[in-house]
Amino acid sequence: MPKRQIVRLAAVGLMTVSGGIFAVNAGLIPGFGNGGSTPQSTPGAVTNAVTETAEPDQDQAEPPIATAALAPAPTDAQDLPETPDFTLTQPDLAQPGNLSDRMAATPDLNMAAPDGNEVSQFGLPCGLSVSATAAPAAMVALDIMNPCQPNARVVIEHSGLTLTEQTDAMGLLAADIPAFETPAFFTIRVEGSSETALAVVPDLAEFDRVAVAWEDTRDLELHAMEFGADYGESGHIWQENAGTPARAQAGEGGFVTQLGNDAVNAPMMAQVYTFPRDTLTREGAVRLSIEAPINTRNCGQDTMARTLQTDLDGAVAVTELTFTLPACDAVGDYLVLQNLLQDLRVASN
Amino acid sequence: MRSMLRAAITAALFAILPLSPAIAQDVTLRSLDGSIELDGTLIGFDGEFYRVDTIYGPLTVNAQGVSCLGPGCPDLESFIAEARFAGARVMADTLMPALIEAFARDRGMSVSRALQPEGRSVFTLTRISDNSVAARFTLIPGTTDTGFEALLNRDADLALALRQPSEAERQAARLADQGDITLSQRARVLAIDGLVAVTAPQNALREITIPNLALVFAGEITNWADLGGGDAPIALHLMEDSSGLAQDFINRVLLPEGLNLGPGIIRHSDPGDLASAVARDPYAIGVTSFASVDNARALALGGPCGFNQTATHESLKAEDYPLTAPLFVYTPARRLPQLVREFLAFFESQTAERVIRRAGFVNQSLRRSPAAAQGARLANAIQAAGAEITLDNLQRLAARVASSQRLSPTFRFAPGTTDLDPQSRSSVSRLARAIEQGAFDGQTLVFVGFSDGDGNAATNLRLSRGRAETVRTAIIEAASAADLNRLQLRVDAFGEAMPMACDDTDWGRAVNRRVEVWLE
Repeated sequence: MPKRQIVRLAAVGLMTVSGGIFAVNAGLIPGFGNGGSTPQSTPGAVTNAVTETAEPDQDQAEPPIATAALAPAPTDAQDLPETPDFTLTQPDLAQPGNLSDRMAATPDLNMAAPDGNEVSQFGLPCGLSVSATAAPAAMVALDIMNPCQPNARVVIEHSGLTLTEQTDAMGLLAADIPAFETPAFFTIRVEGSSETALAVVPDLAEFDRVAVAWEDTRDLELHAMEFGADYGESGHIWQENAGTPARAQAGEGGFVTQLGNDAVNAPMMAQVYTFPRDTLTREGAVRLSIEAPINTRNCGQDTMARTLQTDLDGAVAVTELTFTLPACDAVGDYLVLQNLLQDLRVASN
Repeated sequence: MRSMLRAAITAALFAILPLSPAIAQDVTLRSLDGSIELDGTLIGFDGEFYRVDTIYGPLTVNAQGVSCLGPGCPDLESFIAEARFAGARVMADTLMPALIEAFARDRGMSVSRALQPEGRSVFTLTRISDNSVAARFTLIPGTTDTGFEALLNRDADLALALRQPSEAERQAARLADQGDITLSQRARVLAIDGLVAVTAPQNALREITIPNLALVFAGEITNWADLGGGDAPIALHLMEDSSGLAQDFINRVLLPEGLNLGPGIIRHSDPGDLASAVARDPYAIGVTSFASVDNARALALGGPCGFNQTATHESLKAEDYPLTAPLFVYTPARRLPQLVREFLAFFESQTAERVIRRAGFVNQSLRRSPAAAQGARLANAIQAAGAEITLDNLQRLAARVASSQRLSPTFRFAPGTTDLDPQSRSSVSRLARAIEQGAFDGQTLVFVGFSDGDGNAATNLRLSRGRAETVRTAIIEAASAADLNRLQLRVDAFGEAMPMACDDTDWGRAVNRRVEVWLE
């Protein structure tokens, strides 16, 4: 557990800084760009990025030359905000080791395509686009493309569930989201622009769904004890024994989906348990609990959470939940919250 | 002197009637046409009524009929209805939160739950339209014992109970100025639960007689071999001492046999944990709540004459299962804020009935079962017919069964009295409401009386007819808003015919003494 925690924090540090560099390179200097695909708020984002990465003791490094002439311009007559005289610098940073980070640090070559639209360095057109397709076990496969904003914070909203994710170095993100309503309506926001997507989920009524969603890095977990299973047994479904949609479709039991990426600012995460309603081959009950390992980053912290639970008639019951995690002298213990979610029953009486 | 007297009166009234806590301040209540003015100090405000101490003594004034002036006037707009529910964990843990959430959704409010130490939760209900807080409901899980105690001490406004109050609690209520807590209007039946004997699914035992169940928990039967199983000691599981479930079990199963709990029983504070522990141990037997059987197996309760009763939604709803246990909500002697009263009324709505069903309990919705489902009962009636039941009677019974549907409410009486038991009183209220709403217009409801087999058949026939008439009268009184010309309410009786349980036990006779409702 502590090891996992350290890795997470380092990744946060890396990504924030690389993202900062990229944004500075992309939009600082106005160019000839004439496409309509540049997000309106790029100037704003640039200003922010500039503010974030400005450091008092900057080196005098050479500005990337190619960028100067080819950065995208604002799409309308809106003036670029006054940017201070500023020299591009490389902040003090150990050389990033992996490919994504190196790509992120590479100056962006925004080339004008023959038809005049802006494209990213990989040849994908700029701008946010989203597609949603129904997937097995009442899931929705979201494909989010925002090629000119890699490693950007993405907010996905669906039926009371709000998640933060992050696009990769190519500005792409694929996420499988359990649907809570049909047609499943999604709102995706990335750095000021937003898009919506819709997918019809034909098998939604075949599944019970329960979710716990939370803000910040609180490391909550959803646990399902299927048919009397004890901790660690095969019927104990949680993030370390998450089950699969295939299992649910076969009527053997449920599965847990982990959603969200807490490496971004103001993260919003969720865990969803899906349980087949009528195809079950057993009788009995599934007991649900919300647990949290108490560690140094969540001990004593106030927590804002939300539970979602589907009803037999398709409605989704949403309840806000607030509580304080145990104090830091309990690090290593677990907080177990039972009876916050209705146990799922399969009975023929 | 006078002001000291007034302060004393105010203080005394404060002790008796704490509505929403108000600093005693001067107010002037003026009627809307300006003709009447009342000066005084505000004792309390429950969202609807002012309680004011005036020179005429304490007065209760409807807030809608007056305007309030002065420093003590409460803010009508931002009044927040508060209610604290304390008592049985069985109700406080899953059923009440689900009902609060459903109520909020029903009223266009969002709900936010704050978890506090000791398992308390505070639910804040906020109007979605203008983001104003409408109510705060606090849930204090504990046991039936602590629920009654909190009600009497005014640490809670409502008690969640799995049993009716004891004589000691009744006395304490009077002394605490809570009036007569055993009056029927003080208790509402929220849902129906049952005491169920459970074993692990691998255990071969399927049914047990109530006397044997008592002997097992008294420690007088200790080996499965005595119950027809293999040679192995019996592991016993029961709820903790202060739980209403355990107390009910002792009162209804052990004490009537003159027995007490034996040694070495594993106690639990959560009925779900009890069921889980039993489900894992093939040598265990436990008694838990019907809604918490989960992965354990429920045993049918049998009698020597061959009838047995399995706890099902139908058998609990009709109280045919002998250990049916209603879930009670007890109200205080004072007036509750309007939104809280609306929440209590919400318990009878269809939405609430679904929530109750989903939580695993039995709701009190009216169900009809067709004649075809009565075949087994009719067959039993013919088989069990002794010399005193004539063919005439049986034919009449068969004709009635064939031509009618049975409604789910079945009325039973408190032992040794002609008073309806609490679940039956609640059923009267529901049936009366359905009649008022025209659910049976143009139809005939027949109240059919049955008796136990003890004694003379002719006497029993008369007794059963008398009971049926009592129920019909109760329904007519309760359905005060109904136009009784739109339907027919008739009475019939079959005495000893069609018993549901064995007549040689107390509980069996109690199950047989009943009034059913048939719809033609």
